[in-house]
Amino acid sequence: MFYDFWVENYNEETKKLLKKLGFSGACIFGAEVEDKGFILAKGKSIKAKTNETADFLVLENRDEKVQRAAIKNNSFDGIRSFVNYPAIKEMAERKIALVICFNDLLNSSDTKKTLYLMKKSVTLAKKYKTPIVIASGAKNNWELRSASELIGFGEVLGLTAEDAKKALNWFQEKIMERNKLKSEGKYIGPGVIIKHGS
Amino acid sequence: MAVKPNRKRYILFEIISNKAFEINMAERAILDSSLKFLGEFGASEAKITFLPEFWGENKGVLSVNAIYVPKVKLALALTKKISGHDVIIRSIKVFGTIRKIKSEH
Repeated sequence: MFYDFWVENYNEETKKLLKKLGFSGACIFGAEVEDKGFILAKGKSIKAKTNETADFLVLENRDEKVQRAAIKNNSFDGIRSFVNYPAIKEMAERKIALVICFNDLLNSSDTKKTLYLMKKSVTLAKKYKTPIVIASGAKNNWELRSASELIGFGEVLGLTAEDAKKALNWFQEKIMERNKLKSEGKYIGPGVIIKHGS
Repeated sequence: MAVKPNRKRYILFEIISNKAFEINMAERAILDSSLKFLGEFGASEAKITFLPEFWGENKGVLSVNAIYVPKVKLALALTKKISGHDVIIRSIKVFGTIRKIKSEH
């Protein structure tokens, strides 16, 4: 089961396409939709440290100072940017994911540089065992890409086939699990959940 | 698992679009995209070849060097337009022999 955890546009056609492209769920950014069957989470991308909440909260800022302040605050699920050494290590410790969107490469004005920076971030993430999320980042239906293409993208970035597949479901499943606990009122904070004894 | 160099793989792909394309239009767009992404040297190493006998209903088969499969898949994904029409190219399956493609499709 694979999930596209960054889609910025959603309608019936998107849902059909996502199913055809091999996804069993998606996270929608910036669109208000009520489709509990297929939409597994609602995401929000922000530029700086904040108290906002969402199912999947992602920081989009290339400023290293902002990134490190946000990581220390531990209020994010992921960072969609190129991340360097000290920050990526802290991300691994706090289980904050490195979000890589295919759209950044697809619409990049300098493909070589973008690919180089992505590869660098992925190499560091692999070294420090930071979770990686690969998504399409599609702004319209024609920017969606299939699961097998995103796996190939992960392999080109330096992941093994297994790790690339993991980047399409492992962290996403953790987020869904957390959201389920939140909705049941059992989630207090990172690492703190209420378990009812039998 | 290590793959022997120069061994072929066959990528069965589908072009998702509102329009039905001729084989030469699809071939041109895919080869251009591969050339742009892999470069002259990479494209020659990848040995991308279209198999015209499998073309039909916007589906086709590409023969590529086994170690270049992920890169060619990415080159396919980077194809945004064919003859000015928006497209999504998805690879359906990778085969090791032509016989298997014939038996399954």
